[in-house]
Amino acid sequence: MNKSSFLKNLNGKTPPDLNLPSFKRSVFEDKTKAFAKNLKKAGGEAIIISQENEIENEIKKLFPNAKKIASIYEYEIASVNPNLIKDPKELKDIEIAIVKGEFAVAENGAVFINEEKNRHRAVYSICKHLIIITDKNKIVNTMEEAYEKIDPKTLKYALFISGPSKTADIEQTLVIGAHGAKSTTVFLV
Amino acid sequence: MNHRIKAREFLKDKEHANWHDKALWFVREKRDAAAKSLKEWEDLREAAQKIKEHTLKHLGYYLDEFEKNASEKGIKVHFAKDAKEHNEIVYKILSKHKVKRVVKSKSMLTEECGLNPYLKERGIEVIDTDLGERIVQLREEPPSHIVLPAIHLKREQIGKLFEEKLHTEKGNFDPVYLTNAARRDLREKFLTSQAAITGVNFAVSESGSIVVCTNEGNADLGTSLAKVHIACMGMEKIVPKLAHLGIFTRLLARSATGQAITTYTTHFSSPPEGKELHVIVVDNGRSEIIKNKKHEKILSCIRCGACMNTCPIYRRSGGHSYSYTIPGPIGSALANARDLKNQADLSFASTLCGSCSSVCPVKIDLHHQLLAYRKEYVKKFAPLSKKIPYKIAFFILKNEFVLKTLSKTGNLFYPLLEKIPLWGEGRKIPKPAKKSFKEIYREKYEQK
Amino acid sequence: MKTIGLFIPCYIDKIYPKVAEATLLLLKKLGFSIKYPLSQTCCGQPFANSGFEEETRSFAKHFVNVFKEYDYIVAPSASCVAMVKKHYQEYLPPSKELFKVQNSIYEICEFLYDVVKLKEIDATFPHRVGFHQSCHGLRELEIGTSSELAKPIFSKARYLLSLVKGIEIVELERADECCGFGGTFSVNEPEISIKMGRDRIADHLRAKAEYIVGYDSSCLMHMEGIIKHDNLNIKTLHIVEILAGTANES
Repeated sequence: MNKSSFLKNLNGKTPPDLNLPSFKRSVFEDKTKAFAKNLKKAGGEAIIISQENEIENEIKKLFPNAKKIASIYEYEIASVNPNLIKDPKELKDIEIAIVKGEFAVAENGAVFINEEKNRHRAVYSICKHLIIITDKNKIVNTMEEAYEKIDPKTLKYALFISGPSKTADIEQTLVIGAHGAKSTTVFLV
Repeated sequence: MNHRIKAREFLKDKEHANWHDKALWFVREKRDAAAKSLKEWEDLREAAQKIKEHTLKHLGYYLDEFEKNASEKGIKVHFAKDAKEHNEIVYKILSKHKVKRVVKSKSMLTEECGLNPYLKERGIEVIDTDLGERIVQLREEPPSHIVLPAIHLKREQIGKLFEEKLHTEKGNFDPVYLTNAARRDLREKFLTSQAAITGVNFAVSESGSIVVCTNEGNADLGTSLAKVHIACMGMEKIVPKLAHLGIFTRLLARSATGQAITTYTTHFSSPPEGKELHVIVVDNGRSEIIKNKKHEKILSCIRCGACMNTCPIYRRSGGHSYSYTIPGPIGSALANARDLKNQADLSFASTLCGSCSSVCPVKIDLHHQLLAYRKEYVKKFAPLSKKIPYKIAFFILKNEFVLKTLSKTGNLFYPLLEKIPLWGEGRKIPKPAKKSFKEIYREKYEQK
Repeated sequence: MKTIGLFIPCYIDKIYPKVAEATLLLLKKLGFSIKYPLSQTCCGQPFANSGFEEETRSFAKHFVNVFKEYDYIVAPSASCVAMVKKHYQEYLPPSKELFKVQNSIYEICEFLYDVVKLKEIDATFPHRVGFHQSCHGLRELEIGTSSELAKPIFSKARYLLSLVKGIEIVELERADECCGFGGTFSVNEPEISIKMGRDRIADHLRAKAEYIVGYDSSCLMHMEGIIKHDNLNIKTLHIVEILAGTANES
C-alpha cells in the first residue's frame, strides 16, 4: 500500500506543541560512583584510570592470554583494525574489541557509543569481551539528560551499551553472556 | 469458556502452577524495587501517557514525518495495510536477495502476522534468535509471555529439548551450560544467514530512527552480519521526538524485568554502507482501534509485560490459556478490540483487581478497558443463554420478598446444600443468616 | 445534626447481618443520627461488572432515589461504595441528586478517617490478625496505597485497626494480591478463583494470623468458603466488627 492510502484514515494535521509537565529528575551526588555501581549491577565493571596510556596495561592485566584484539584506534595490543576488513564475519574469532564512548549514564551504567568512523557495527556484539573507553567527566545523571546530547538530525547509528549481554530465559536464572559480549569493561579516563 | 478450560488444565499440575506463579511474582517484585528507587517514577508514567495520547491523536502526521526523515537517511520505508501485505513485502525483499536463511529477534508483530509459517511455506528458514523464542520455536509452540517467552518451562524440559535438538549432554540442565550451547548453535546461524528481521521498540519521527532494545545482543549481532535488515513495526510504535526516548527508556526495562536499562539500546537511523535497511509499518486493524476513542489508548502499550507479571490470573493460568498472540491483560484487551464476538471470554478472565493498571508504564486503565468490553459484548453478541441467569438474578434482587424467601430457604436447608459443590470444587457456599439485618433493624432499632 | 443513611449491601443484609449491626452501633456510639432506609436494594455492581447496562441502570436509579435525602451515606463495603462513587455516572444522566449521592457516600473506614477524623478507639482485640486489602477499596477508592505505586505506603483502614488495643497485625508476603472473588468471576472461573483464595489464606496462615480481617465481606465470604471446605484453623472478620467492639460476641 502506498503512503497516502495508508495515512488516509489517520489524522495528518500538524499537531499543537506537546507540553509535558515538568518534574524533578534524579540527580547523583557522585555520578562516577553511581555509574560504577549501576554498571556492576548490570554485570559490567568500571575502572577509573588517570591517563589513557594506562589502558593497554590494564587490558593486559585483565586478559593476559588474549591474542585477537580488535580496534579501529591505534593500540599496540590491537591485532586487527576492523575498518580494514571487508566482511564483518571475519571478526568472528575476536576476543576483545576496544571501542570509544561519547558519554556515560549514571542511573544505569550505560555508555553511549556513536563511532561514526567505525565501519562494522558487528564489532560491538561479535567480540567475546568488550572494552569501552569514555571520558570520566562526561557522565550524565539520567536518560533524559543523555538524549539532550544527541542530535536527531545527524543520528545515523548509535547505541547505549550497559554491561555484558545476558539472558534469564531459562527459569529466570541470570546467565551472563548470551549472544553478545560475555564481559563489558568500561575505562573512565 | 476457552480460557477457563485451559486454565483448569494448567492448574492440574499443582507444583508447576505454583512455581509459575512464584517465578512471575518474583519478576513483579523486581519491577517494584526498580520503580520505587526513582522518586520521579509516577511522574515518568504520567509523561509517557501524555506522549502516547498526543501521538495517537496525530499518528498520520508523525508517520509521515518518520517516513520522510528515515528515507532521507537511506532507509526504505514500506506500508502494509494488513498481515498478508506485511508478509508479502518481507518475502519480496528476501527473495530479491535470494535469502534462504534469516535470523529474527523478538517481534510480537511478526507473531501477529504469522510470518514464520508464511516464510517456511515458501522455502525460507527462519531462526528465532532470542533464547526464549528459540526454545519455543524448537518445541513448535507459541511464546507464553511477550518478554519471557519460555517462562512456562522448567530447566529439565529445556535440557531434554536441547539434548534432542542440539545434542547437549544428557541430564545437564544447568542454565549456564544450556545458554552456552544455544550461543554456540546460534552463532553458526548468525554467520550463515543472509538477512535479519527485527521488531521495533520505538520509532522516532523527528530523526527517522528505529530503536531496538535487547539484553542478549541477538538483534545487534544478526543485523550487523546480514546484508539486509528488515524491521517490522506496528504503526503505534511511533514517538515524536528523540528526547521522548529519555522517558520511555527509563520506564521500559524497569517495568519489564526490573533492570535499569536493557544491555543494548540500539538506534538504527541509516543502513551501513552497501547494505539495506527496510522498515515495514503495519496497520492490521490498528486504524480501526484508533477510531474508537474509548479504546484508543490500548495502542499506547510499549510491550513491557508488566501487566502479565502482576496479573494473579495470568500467573495461575499461563500464557497459553489466552487465545491470542499476546496474553494477559493487554492481550485480552487487544483480542477484544479485534474480535469481540469470539474473544469475549478473555475480558471475563479477570477479577478486575486493577493491579495491571497500576503497573502499566503508560497508564492504560486496563481493567476499565476489560469492563468496557464486557458491556459491549453483552450489548452486541451475548446469546440468550448467557443473559438468562442475570435476568433471573435481577428479578430476585429487585424483589425483597423473593430474596428474603430464598435466604430463609437457604438457611433452613443449609446442612444439605453445603454438601453440594454449588460454588466450585473446594469452596462451600455461605450460610444465610436466620434473621436478615432488615429484620433485626425493624425489631431492635427502627424508631416507631 | 447531620444524618447518615446506612447502606447495607444485599449479601451483608442476608448473610452477615452482624457486620451491618456493628456499623450501626459504631456510628451511633460516635453520636450520629442514623437511618436505614428499608426500601434499599442491591447497588447493581454484579450486573455492571458483567456488562449488563440496563439492569445496572435500574438499580442505580432506585439507589439515588432512596439515598438522596441523607447528608452522608455510609456502607461497610468498599466495592459497593466504589460502584456508586466512581461508576454511577456511566449509567445515569447528570443530576443534582446523583451529584449529591456520589459526593456524600463513604466506605466506613473512609468515613471514620476522613470525616470523623478518628484518633482513638475504645475497642480491644488481643489477637493476631492478617489485614486483607480488597482491590476495589484499594485501587478505586484509594483507602490505602496499592503496592505497585512508587508512593509512600499508607492505609486508612490499617491505621484504624492499629488503634485497637492488644491487636497484632502480622506481615504478609503479598500485601494486596487479589483474593480471587471478583464477583461473577468466582462462578465463571471457579478453579482459578479458588486457587487464588487458597493462596491468600495460606499467606495468612504462614504469618500465623488467627483472623483474616478486611473491609469487604465479599472477599471474606469467598475465603471463608474455602476455609470451611478445607477445615483450616483461621477465621474471617470484617474490620467494623473489631472497631465497634462486637467481634468478641461471635
